Order: sequence, then structure tokens, then C-alpha cells
Amino acid sequence: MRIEAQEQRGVTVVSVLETRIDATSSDEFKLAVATSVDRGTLLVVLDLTSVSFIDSTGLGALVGGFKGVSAKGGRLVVSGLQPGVSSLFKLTRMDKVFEVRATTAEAIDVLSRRA
Amino acid sequence: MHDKTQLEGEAALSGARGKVLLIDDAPEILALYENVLRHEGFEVRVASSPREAFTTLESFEPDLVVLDYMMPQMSGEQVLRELRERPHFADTPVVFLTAMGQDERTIGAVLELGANDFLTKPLDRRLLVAKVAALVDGRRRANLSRAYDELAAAQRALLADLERARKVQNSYLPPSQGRFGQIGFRAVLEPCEHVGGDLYDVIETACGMITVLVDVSGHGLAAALVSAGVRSTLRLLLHTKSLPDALRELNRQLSMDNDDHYVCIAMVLCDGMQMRLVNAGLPPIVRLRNGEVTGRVLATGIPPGLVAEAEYEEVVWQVEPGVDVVMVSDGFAELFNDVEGIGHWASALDLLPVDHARSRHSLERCLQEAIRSSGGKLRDDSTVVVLSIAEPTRPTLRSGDTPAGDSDAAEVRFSIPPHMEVIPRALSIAARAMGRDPEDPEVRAPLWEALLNAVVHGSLGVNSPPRDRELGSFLAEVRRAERHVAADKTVAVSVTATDGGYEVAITDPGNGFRWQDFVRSNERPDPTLEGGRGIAIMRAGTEAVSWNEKGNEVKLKFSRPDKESQ
Repeated sequence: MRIEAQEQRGVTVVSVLETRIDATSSDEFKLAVATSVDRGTLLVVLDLTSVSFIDSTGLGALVGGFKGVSAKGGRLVVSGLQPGVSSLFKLTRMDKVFEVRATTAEAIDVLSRRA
Repeated sequence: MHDKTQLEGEAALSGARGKVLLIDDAPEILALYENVLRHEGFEVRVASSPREAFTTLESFEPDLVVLDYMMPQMSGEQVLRELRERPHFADTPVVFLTAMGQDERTIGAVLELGANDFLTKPLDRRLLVAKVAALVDGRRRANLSRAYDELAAAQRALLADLERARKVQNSYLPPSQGRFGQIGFRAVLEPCEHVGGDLYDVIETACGMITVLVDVSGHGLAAALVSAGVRSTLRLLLHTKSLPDALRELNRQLSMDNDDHYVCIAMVLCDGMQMRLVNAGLPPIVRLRNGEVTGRVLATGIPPGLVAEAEYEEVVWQVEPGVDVVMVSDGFAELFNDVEGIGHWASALDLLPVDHARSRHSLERCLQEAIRSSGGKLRDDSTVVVLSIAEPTRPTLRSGDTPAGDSDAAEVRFSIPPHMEVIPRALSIAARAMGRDPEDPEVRAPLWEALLNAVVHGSLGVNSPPRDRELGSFLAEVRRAERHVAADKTVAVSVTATDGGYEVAITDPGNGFRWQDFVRSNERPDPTLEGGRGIAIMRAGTEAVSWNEKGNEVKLKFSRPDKESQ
């Protein structure tokens, strides 16, 4: 699974470069996020701009990633939601779990202000 | 001896054409043949004593053993015998190395023991390689074939197991079509593998009938196991908890499990014409009238099992006949690219009235068609549940030999000649269908009269005597006269809502009895009219009394009490 992580203004931006997060890739995804978080700061932006589809296993992995960050006292913001993913978030009330911003830049802003 | 890691490395490099074990007590022989064979791409191990040989045999599992006939510690013959006694190596090919001059009898004996071939020392290289290659190839092919058979058998066993699991999962489902008072229920479920994480359930509680649609995250066997557990838990919780409370408790339990699964779930509680709905994670529950979407319920909570703390709400709807309420799993919505649940699929769903003869198969057909249109392969379990509100039910009286029971309010069975209890029961059903009290004299009198005559005369085909006799004694007389009547007569009672009230139609078998012979005119009751008090009674309390040509159906028109008081 192609994932890129880079630091910007004290925030780790984890970008998922695949179009799907589903049962075949969710384990890799979880691992990749955990590794990035371990290496980087506790302020994480999860950039889902490339992702057009997340299935139920993928959503579970996303929440798992979020819990991992929270457990370490960190904060995670999701950015760049495509319509299909945004709709999934709406149906499952992920707006009560995740902070969401339209662009990665906004997400970095939100987190770096706190740092 | 060679270093083990070096050996394995060389074997990996050589791209093993086969595995050969060389057993000879002369180290220079071993070294020589080993080189020759390794050069040809074989993976080779050597052993210079029988004990070393058997140890290596177990760990290396060669495709071929090349064995020296004459060895000081144990003869080649003995090694061969012992080899052949071990079931795992009973058919491993063995080539004997014999010294020049060995007589044919010995060779013959050795071959009889189970050796496959022999080579005479000093060896011709090409001959060594040729014989080794031939035997190893044959052996490998046999191994492959056996491995394939074993795999195929294992796969068949797994599939058979999955098939049994599918049957179990199916048995958990309620019938795919049913009727609960005015609510018609239909469902179709298509797992994307043998078993899946989708399920639907119908639970009748004191508060009403609850329909549940569950979609466990993921699919396949793991999801199926979780869904079975969720079903059991819900069946316990829903008898005592409200829908939101049940979800809260389910979330608590699923979050405690050390497992990554969570559940998207929608539930509808039907209590008369009121519905309570929750939806945590599934596509919107859609309300349809004449194929148009008139309401949606979505996102009333976070799917149970995702986060430890979650809040749940419910939505209340009033419904009426003609409304369809549809729940779908996201596997289904995905087929239409409609996760938002606008309901594009609503028009595809051929929502015929539940009573329609074709409707049982129409849902299935729609789903299959949708699967076909989207490429023929389901990516996720796909489920549709439809609740259709119908007009109030038709109570029916049927004759037969079984004793009357209370299990189905719409049907009362009795035998001919009928017992007394049949008529009050039918009357009660008809009155309740009109929303009236069966004891209300205004409805009771006309209904009683109509039912009495339909049951007694319509079934028995006798003329009505003047009303100066008790029904009981009249029936006793019938029994004494031993009139022969066919046992399966039916008297049907149906109640239909009209603009001003209700129409009760009572249909009897028309056994030579005609209502028009009773009812002389449609005017208000006149005790001086012929026909007796029965007709007068039917007219009183009704707006109109009518009958059909054939004379086996009478219709009583009742107006709504509030209308009359206007």
C-alpha cells in the first residue's frame, strides 16, 4: 500500500496514495499509520485526497489508527475527503469521532496552531 | 562434512532439479558423485553411515536415494529393507551402487527387495545423471499429482464445511415473506461468499414487531460468526429495551470484545400505524409512497463496536396504507452507486403490494438484475428489507375438523354444523377491524344477524325458520335430521375502509340460500315487512344493506361514529 509521510510545521502528514482502503489493504494501512506515528510527532494529518472508496474493514482500520494516536495523547485530523468517503463518514457519524478538514493545508493549520 | 548453511545456499542457487541422498562409506565417492549431481542442478546430501543416512532421510526427504551395496556397518540390503519399512519412504526410489562383478542373482535379489535400479562402480557420469534424472522426475511427478489430489480434497472439504455453515446461517433467517397484521414483510439477502456478515431478523415483542437489518464489517466466515452473536444479543435486549438503549448496550458489549469487528445496523419498530426507527451506519432507511421518496432516516448513531462511548437516537414516523419502508445494506446501495441513499434504486425495486402473487419473487429478481447490471460480481453482502403497509386484514371463517384456536386472529375454524362460539368470534374480528367495540349494540346486532344467517343458512343451505327459536335448538334439530353437508365450506368476512366509514362484506358458499330472498327492500326497517325481525335488525345501525346477484354475498355499510354525530 502506497503511503507517504512527511513532516510539516511540526505536524506529520500521512498521505494515502491508493484509491481504495479495503479488506485487502486495511492491515497494511493500519501498520503504515502506526509506524508513521511512531516515527513522527503526535499531531497527525491523514490525507485521503486520493482515496475514492473505503469499505467497512477500511473504516475499522481508520478508526483503529485514530485510536492509536489518541491513546498516545495525540490528535488526528482527516483531510481531502472525496464525496464517496464523505458520504460514508456521514452515514456512520464519523464526524463525531474524527476532526475533518477540506484540505490538507487547513488541517495542518489547525494542528500547528495548537503545537 | 559440508557446512549445512553452505549446502542449503548452494541448493537454493542450483534451483534444485530434485533432491538426492547419497549413501556410501567412501568419502571420495560421495564427494565425486555429489559434485557431478550438483553440477546438473540436483540438491544433494551425503551420508557415510546408515545412522547418518536415516537422520538425514527424515529431515531432507529426498526424491531419490543412491545407496552403496557394500558397507561395513550395515549392508545396503539392510538399509533398503529398513527404508522400505518406513511408510513415508516406502516408495522413495533407490538406486544401488554395486561393485563390478556382482553376480546377477544378487542384483536380482536386490531388485526384488524394492530397489528401482542399480549402477556399477566405477560410474559412468552420464549414466549416473541419466538414471538419477529419470527416477527423480518420475518421483516428482507422482508427488505433484498426489499433492494436487490432497489439495483438491482439502478444498472440497473446506467448501463442504462452508456450505454447511451457509445452511446454518440461512436457518437463522426468518421466512423471506410474511404478514404481521397490516405490515407486509419481504426480504432478500445475497452473501458475496458462502456466508457473510449481513442478516435480517424479525422479533415480535410486547411493544410491537421489530425488523432488524445488520451488516457486520468485513465479510466471510468471521463476519458471519459475529453476526450470529449480534442476532442472539439483540433477541435478548429488544424485549426489554428501547431501540436506542439496545444499541447502546450492544455497543458496550462489542467494544469490550477484543475484536476489530463492528456492526452497521438499522431497526424499525412497528406498533400499529406508528414506526420507531434507528439507523447506525447503514444507507438511509427510505419511505416511499407510489414510488416517491417521502422520508429518510440515517445516522442516528455510530455503528456499535467502533468506539467505546456512543449516543443513539430514534425517529418516529406515522404511516398509513400504501407506504413502503425500505432498509438496505451498503452492499446493495453500492450496486447503484447510491451510498447517499437518494433512493435511485427505489424505482428498480418493483415494490408491488405484498399480497400480489408475484411479489415474493420480484425483490429477488430486482437484486439479481442489479447484480448483473453492475458487472455480475458482488463485492459485499447485499440485503434488502421491505415493510409495506396494507389495508386492514380480512378475517375469514373456515369450516373444517380442527378445533378453533386463537393463534390467528384472521381465521376461525369450525365444523359443520357450527358451534355457537364461531359467530361471536367472527363478530369480534369484524368489529375490531372497524376500530369498534364488539359489544357496541349498534354494530353487534346487524353483524350478528348477518353472520348468523351466513354461517347457518349459507353453509347448511336451509331456510330460515321464524325467529322464535334458539339457535342451539335449531342446530340440534339439524343434527337430528342428519343433513349431509360438505365439510369444507367457507364463510368469508372482509372489512374495507370507505370514505364515510366501513363496509363489511360477508360471503357464504351460497348453498341454495340467497340474501335477496331475505331482504325485500333497502328502505329503513319496517316491522310490518315480510322477512321477519332479522332483516330489520340488519338494517338498524347500518347505512345500507346490499347484496350481489348470486345472492351469496351481503354488504353492510357502517358509518364512522364521529360522522354520525355531526
